[in-house]
Amino acid sequence: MQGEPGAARPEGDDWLAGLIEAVARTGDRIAFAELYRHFAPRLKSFVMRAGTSAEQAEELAQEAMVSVWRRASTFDRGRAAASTWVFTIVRNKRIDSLRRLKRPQIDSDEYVATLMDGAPPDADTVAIAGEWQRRLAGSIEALPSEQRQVLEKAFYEDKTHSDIAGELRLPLGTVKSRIRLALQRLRIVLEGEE
Amino acid sequence: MAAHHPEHALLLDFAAGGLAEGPSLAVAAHVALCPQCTQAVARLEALGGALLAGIEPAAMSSDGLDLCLDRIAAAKQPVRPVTGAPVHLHVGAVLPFPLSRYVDGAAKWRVSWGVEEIPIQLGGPSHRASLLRIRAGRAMPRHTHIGTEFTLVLAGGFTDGQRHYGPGDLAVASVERHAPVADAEGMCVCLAVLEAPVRLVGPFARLLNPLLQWRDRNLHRASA
Repeated sequence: MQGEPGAARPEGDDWLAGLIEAVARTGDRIAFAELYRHFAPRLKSFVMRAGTSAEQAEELAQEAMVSVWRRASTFDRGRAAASTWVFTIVRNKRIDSLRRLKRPQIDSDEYVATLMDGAPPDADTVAIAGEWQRRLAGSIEALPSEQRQVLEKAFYEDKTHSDIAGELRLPLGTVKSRIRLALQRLRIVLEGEE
Repeated sequence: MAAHHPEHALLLDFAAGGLAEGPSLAVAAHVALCPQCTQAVARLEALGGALLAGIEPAAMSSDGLDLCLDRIAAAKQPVRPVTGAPVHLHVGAVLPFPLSRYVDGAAKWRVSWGVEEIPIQLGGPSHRASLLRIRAGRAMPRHTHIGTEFTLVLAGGFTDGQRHYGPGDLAVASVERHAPVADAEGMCVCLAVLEAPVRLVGPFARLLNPLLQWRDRNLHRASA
């Protein structure tokens, strides 16, 4: 998979981070083309998991890639892995398109980012966030399927935990406890934290 | 240090982008005040990133990159990082980012149904958000609501049933009648986000309901 320590291999997270930085520094179109080839098909697939048509998903992926260009200077590899940063962009695009949070007087990219991205976390948080991603992929695969399903519905299908409970005809408490167990197993939250 | 945090399921909803604007604002403002939840959200976003990285790609159209570059050429200037200086209200309460972006520091409190309020404009009609200021020892009007109510304490504190909430604490109340009481000393300032419509209960408060609905309609017309 990706992100072996210190390696800037093609498709690895350090390589992707370098490309985003090149776009930010000099508007490097070759670097952007590489980013596009890597991320656009994944973004399209990500959006299609919610049942969106291929055509609409391609449109949202295109919009997200335009935002990758426009927001490149906000990327900080110490704060988040490249794919985490791109995830937040497509998440914000989806919020923007689905909920119509648009306000005419404010640039929508900036507006949703204002609501969602918040203040920069402190240095400790940051160091952990990048490291986290590298270890997560395998841990997600190892989750019991009913726990993984709830996380995938939340991230891919943009559903709240109460939407998920309704759809799966499960008591709210069952969905909440699956989420809690999954987040503890992934060490996203620590036991006893609430 | 906050003692009452959003539960894990709510943090997941927030980080995955599933919450409406009002609840998102309440959770985001709590997160800004809470290092523990900031860390949990950063890790949840990393989970989103890992899911994106691991997904099977879906082919884009062959001219996709060219179309994208055309759009970029036509796009507005690059977006600068958004910075968020906290806003100091003239009552000793500090509004954390991103709440600070929603409230004008010079906004005036106005009295409505027994408490002082600064309404906050949201993009849609599904929720009502306000800053509320309650005098020491006063009860908030008894009210019911159809969905969940989010209350973030910004200064002072209040008690609701057996629980006490202080600065930074997020109270999440589901469908029920309740009447929180502000602490005996100092003003209580909080952000309240309620699913619309809100209904007051009690012999006098009930008379105010038509007034609330009238005001809701006007607020939404103004924001439309």
